[in-house]
Amino acid sequence: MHIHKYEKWWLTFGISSLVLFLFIVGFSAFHYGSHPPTGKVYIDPERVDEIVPFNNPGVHKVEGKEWDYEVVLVASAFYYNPPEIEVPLGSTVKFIATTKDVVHGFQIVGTNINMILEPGYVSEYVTTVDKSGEFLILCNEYCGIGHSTMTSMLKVVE
Amino acid sequence: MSKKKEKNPNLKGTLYSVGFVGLFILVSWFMAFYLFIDRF
Repeated sequence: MHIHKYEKWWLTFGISSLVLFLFIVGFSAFHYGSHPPTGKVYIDPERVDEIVPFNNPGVHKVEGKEWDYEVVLVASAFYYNPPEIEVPLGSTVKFIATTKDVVHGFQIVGTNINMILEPGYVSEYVTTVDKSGEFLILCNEYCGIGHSTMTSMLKVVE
Repeated sequence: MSKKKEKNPNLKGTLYSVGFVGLFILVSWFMAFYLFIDRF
């Protein structure tokens, strides 16, 4: 089979870009452990208010873990509990969230935090907040008539 | 069908144009990746 010289160049360029992309994605997945928010933990969506840790939503300082704060968050039509989150700059935060009724979203605008909250499942995300300011939290899964008003605020303070 | 041996066609323009497309894909991929790395 005859392949033109330029075609060989192009094939080399294309295949090496693909290998480079896959290497970078694989490296961040297997070395840094980056993955989508987990949905492996199952809880009874009818009894969210009684189940630890969702019986006590809010920002909690923790000791002896890989993160400094746990933000326990319960979403329901059409608000988030707690309605406002405040964490210090530079701290490592674990967001633990679920929903009591229908599917909600949990997106913090301008960050990589963007989770879907499904009834019965727990979504988690660990990150180090390295930028101060106020970040809007909003629901990006259509959940009903009050969907557009379903917001909250993450405040990263110095 | 011609029996003459086919000459190597000139594909320089093709190489440049797909080169631009490839470069655009590479640059935009790295811009999106940088955004991902930079955000918390």
